[in-house]
Amino acid sequence: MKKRILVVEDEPITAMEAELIVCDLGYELAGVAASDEDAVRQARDERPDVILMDISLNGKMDGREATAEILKFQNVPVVFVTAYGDKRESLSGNLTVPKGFGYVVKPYTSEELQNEIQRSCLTLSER
Amino acid sequence: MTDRGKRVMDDIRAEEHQLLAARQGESDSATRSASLVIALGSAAALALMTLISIFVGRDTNRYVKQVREGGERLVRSNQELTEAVKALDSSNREKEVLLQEVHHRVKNKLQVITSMFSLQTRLETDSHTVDVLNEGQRRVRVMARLHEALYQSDDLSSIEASPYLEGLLADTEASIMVSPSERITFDLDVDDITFDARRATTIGQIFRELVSNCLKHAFPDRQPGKIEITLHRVNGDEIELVVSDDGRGLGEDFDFQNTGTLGMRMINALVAPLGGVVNIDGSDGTAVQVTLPENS
Repeated sequence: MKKRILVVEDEPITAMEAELIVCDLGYELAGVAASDEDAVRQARDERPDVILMDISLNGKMDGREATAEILKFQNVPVVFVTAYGDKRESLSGNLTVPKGFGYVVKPYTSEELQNEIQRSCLTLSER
Repeated sequence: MTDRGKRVMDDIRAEEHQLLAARQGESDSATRSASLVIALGSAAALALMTLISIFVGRDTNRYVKQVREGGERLVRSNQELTEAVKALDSSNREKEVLLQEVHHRVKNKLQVITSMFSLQTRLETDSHTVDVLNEGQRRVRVMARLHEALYQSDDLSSIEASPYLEGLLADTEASIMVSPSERITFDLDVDDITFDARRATTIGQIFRELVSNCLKHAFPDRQPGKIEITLHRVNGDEIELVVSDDGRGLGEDFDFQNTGTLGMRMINALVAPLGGVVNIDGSDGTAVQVTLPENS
């Protein structure tokens, strides 16, 4: 069964490329969310296997806070996508990330994003 | 005793009395004079002490007042300084937040540009066009690397050469050396040099173009080779970047000034405004030497 990926990205062009990369890898697109509330709602409705989460989002919550909300009802691997170059800066805050979380810095290459998604899916399969 | 003797004795006694009275008067006068002197002296001393205490008291009061006023001024200055420091801290925090926001937006927009290149590449079937689009994408990533290095530097305006070039080399290597079978080794030797933002941009772009040229053209048919990169301070106030390889060289008819490649034209265009010089030796492998003034 194909792994299902939820893409959370508020920049349409960047989201479009991410969608195509997900499909290129043979995974199923669970949805594309452009805001914090939309991300939480789609995660609850779609129950994706992996979430590609932009740290900076439209809405009250950022990507870390939206992830924390999602982790309350689903233990799902997350690949964080961030324009911040420092991992500690990006992931600081009260966030417990599950096993298999990934991290990609913008601007990323298609290969970098592919590698992180595949790594998370692989970790998921090993559970 | 006769009358005459008696009179003489009376005269003697009278004279003696007069003498005694005179001496007594002199003694009383001396006593009065001494008392007067003592009284006057005491009064003078008392007056002097009073004057001294008045003056001393007045100076002490003035001094105490001055100290109190000085203390109050210090307290006010301290309060003003504390408020100024708070305002500066607040202003600095605002600037940091704004800078972080600008940095974030720039990186996001650079991602949009590379995504556009990537999406366009998917639609192209012509390999040359795909190469051109990929090259454009890589050039954008150099800008992102520069931006990242500046943002993470201590003063946000200068960059240490060594980690910057190491990062650029890793990016260039990863983006061009698609096959692990390509046995190309790198030797990077960089002096302790700090660039300002402008030189960092120029050196970074030149560096990437030269290393990219070596990787793409110096070693045809996946032959092994070595690329050496040095960045040294020379002649006291110049920096010299040399990228050399032991590949196939450029050939005797290579004309750097009239080359049609975009990379070489970019290098010329980048070096000239900074007063730099480019020298190329393509006889035994290829060595490109770029010399720039270290400061404006």
